[in-house]
Amino acid sequence: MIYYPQHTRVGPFEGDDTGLTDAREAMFQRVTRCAKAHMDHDYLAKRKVRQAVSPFHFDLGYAILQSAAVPESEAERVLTAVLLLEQGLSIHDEIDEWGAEQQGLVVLAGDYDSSKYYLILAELGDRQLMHELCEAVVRINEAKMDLLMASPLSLDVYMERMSTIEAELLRALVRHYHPNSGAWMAQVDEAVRNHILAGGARVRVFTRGTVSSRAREGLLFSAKDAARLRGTWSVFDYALPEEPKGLQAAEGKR
Amino acid sequence: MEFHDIYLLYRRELERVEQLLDERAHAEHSDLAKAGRTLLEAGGKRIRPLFALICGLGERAWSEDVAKVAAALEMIHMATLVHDDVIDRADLRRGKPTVRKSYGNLAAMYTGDYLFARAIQLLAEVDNLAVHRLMARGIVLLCEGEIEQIEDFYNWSQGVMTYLRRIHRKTALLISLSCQLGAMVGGAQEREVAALARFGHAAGMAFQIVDDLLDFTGAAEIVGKPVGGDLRQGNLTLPALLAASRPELGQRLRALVREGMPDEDAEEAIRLVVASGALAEAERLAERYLEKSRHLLGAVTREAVREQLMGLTSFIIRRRY
Repeated sequence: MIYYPQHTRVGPFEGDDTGLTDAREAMFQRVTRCAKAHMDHDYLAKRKVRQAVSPFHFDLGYAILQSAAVPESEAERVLTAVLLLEQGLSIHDEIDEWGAEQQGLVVLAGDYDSSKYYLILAELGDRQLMHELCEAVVRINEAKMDLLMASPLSLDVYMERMSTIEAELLRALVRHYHPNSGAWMAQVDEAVRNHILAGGARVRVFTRGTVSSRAREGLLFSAKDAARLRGTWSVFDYALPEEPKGLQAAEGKR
Repeated sequence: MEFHDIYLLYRRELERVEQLLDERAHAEHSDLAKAGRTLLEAGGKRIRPLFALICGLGERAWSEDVAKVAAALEMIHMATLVHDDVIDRADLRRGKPTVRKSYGNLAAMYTGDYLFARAIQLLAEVDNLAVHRLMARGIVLLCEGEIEQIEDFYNWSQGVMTYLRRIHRKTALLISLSCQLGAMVGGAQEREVAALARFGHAAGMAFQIVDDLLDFTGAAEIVGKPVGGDLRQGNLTLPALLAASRPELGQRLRALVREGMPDEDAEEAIRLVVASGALAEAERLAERYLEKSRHLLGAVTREAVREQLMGLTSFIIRRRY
């Protein structure tokens, strides 16, 4: 099973067709290499439990850290940790899609990723960041439980839970590196909504109601739903009064 | 000192740990809260918190940090249990339906991830980065041990050393950490912290060997899971490996225990292991680890701590569930 077959660039990056800037590309390569080295386990590979990192979370995470002038070495470790954590939590969503003989390994692959995230943060020594990311994990799992157990949810509530799942780790980075920055928080929320609407978020087969059948086919929302949601959040018309500098750098041009 | 007396001695501290577990493991989401409560109420012996409390407090003044470490260790243990039940496809734990059985695999995944996050968050309140470094390395090894366990399913070519390395990672390490971190946060001298870590390792090895013995000897209604569950699953523990090393049994046992074996073959294999004398041999190894743990306590200066830890490890060997 391979995740993130393609990275749909949305939200703050829309219109940026130049690809990654050199610095961001180099960082992406380093972080991906590092995260994969952490995820790597001979037996998991032998049993074809493959994993990948989320370019979407990298892009936004990188922009958040860069605009806070986080030193490169710290940014590399933080991004690696966050991507490991994101993957560790996400692979657990797939548990029922694997064959019986591989399910146990999928559980452990996710746990292994999370253990490595913790190891990196422990070495970094930032207890406050650790605390904020853990709080994000708590909210993510509560949102996932809601999607799993609640009665059919309205589209708005479904979208809110999906946003929590996709955005909360990034919001934790904003809280930590840009305290009290409503602008950054709004930017993250908008990017995540666009990401979900564009079908970039992992399809969640446990979703209920009318969304569910489409989700199973790989499309979360009908054009009508998407238009309504765009109207609700004005995601494509949104403009920040003062755009965070890091986003410009992350985009490469504007 | 008897186990019951040790519990009474630490009753108030254990109550504080329970309170922390209850507060911190509590989720806003009602289903997640219910799943967490299922685990909390299933109880367990709270062995890990008790090790941490004894090593961290014994004769010392109350320390909230020690209680936090103790509660975090138990939450990590609970998180691993709820995920283990998915790996093992277990319907029962301590005689009660597992989270997986009651709510499904996904809910069990989310409950485990939630508890793990809460545990790390609680630990993050303790102002000691060494605690995190040790704990993180321990959890990485724990995961590797669990992966190796699956890798070695039905692998009759593994030796006893492979088994010992595996149980070191999957069980002994967390007990060793309970002692080490408890002592460290409680302010013990470096030498004593190191001695308690080694003690915890030996005690943890004895604990897991006894656990593996109980899988063959324990009454299903007391242990809370089917007899011979490990063997049925392909998990070759010490009694099975020792029985297989008997020339007269090895071939038959290897032929019986294989992927997809029918129930009657599993039953026969369990009977063969029980009749082989391997259980007594495994018990002797557990006793040796126990002796080793007692020997290691010689480096601990606090007499009360030595006595309480001895009492606790004796219970480990004698327990029936």
